[in-house]
Amino acid sequence: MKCEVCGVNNATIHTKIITNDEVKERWLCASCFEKEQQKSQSVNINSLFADLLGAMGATTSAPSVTCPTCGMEWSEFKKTGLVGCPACYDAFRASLLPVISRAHGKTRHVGVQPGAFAKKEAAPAQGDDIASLKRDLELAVSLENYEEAAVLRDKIKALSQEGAEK
Amino acid sequence: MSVNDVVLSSRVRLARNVWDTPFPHRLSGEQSQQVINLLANAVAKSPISGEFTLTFLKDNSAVQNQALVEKHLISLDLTKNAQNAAVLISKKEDLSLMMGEEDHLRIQAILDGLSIDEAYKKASEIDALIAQSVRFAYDDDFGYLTACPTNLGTGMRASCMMHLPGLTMAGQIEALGRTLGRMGFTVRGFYGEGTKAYGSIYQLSNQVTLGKSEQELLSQLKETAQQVIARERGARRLLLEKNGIILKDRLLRSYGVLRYAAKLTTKELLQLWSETRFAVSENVLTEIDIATCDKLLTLQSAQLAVSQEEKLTDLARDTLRAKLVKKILDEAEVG
Repeated sequence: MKCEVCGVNNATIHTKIITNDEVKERWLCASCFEKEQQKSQSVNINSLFADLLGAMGATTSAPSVTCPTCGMEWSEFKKTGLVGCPACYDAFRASLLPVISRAHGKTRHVGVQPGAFAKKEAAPAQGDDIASLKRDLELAVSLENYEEAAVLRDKIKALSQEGAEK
Repeated sequence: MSVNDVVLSSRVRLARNVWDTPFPHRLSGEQSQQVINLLANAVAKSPISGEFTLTFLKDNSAVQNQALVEKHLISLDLTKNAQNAAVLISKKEDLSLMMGEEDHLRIQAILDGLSIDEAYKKASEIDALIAQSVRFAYDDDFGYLTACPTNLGTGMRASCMMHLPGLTMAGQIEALGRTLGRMGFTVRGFYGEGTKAYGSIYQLSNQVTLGKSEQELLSQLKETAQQVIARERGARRLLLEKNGIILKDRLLRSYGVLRYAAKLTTKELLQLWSETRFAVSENVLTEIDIATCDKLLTLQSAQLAVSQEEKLTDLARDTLRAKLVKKILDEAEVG
């Protein structure tokens, strides 16, 4: 079988990534595989995590194009820097996280809450619940903090198993 | 020790939006009106309603709106949406609630000198009051939701208006801006975002609004302001030491022109005011005090135009301005 990248050399390296029911296979020759490794180690890791996130139901691919509440398109935000309505923060959450992180360094509010309508008593600390860990994992991957992402992935795994056992 | 030789005023602004409602730039005229009514009624129903006057910008002339901008009661941005904007202003003019700017509601408290905590207290009291009858857009992660992600979380921009003639003359403002930028603060011109630094007046404010509590941001601003004050005072003293009589002469001549000019433009006024204030703060000029200096700031164009019944030509207005300056300085020197 020929290498799927160069189509010239014989494919001597076979990678197989299995996530739940999905299997991704690649056949490469030694030099193309090495080139890919050198170009960016992160490329392979990125696709690994992308698969992992895909399996967990999060999105790192193209954002939902339109906000279902106000109809604003992601492209509009990129032009104006303004979102259309409060619900846009849900619709474009994954894509907005890196923007927000760059602007503020953090992505979690720790200040005052609207008194009468506050759901919780105090502002939650950076929680260890699975949902917040998943969000942190998404952000770490998009910012290419792969060591951090691996730690978070393991925490999520541990918590999910705990939850399953209970 | 008073810091009013450097700090002119302090301001705290809170950005809030109504739950489940598109942000102002996506509202029709009618919808904007509904949001304004909702917010204005929340204040009208409250015990403090008598303290506020509601003004729709479209009912004002352009000059009247400009006068409100000069007094820092509304922003330039609000005037750009004049058709669909309104403002509630307190009698003491220390609180203004802008409706229809980038966010549905921007609560602003302004006080003289370095009074950040007091300004925050006033603004947050109004915030809590309105929140009793209006549900604000809020998210557990992102805090208060705003049209621009740069205002998320606390929605709070705390700032000090500072007079920095020393650092300006020493050519150190850009470097200051860069240092402050690394610490999470910005330095902007007199009227806020995108405006020039007339009269060496700059606005120092926090850049980050999410991930830190209100108290943290306020403390950090106060600490940063203190550092800028120290640097400014140092710059003034060094300039006077190094340049001695040459600089003193320049500053005193500026006071001379202010004292005796027959006409003055706003730009000239700010420039001369700045040099005079520098002189007063370092005891180079002792005939007047800082408070008198700052009275001159009320003589900018729109405020002057509004105080007159007839419309003035530019020359007539500049002549009037010089007359009023002279009156203020005459009274101060005698007293």
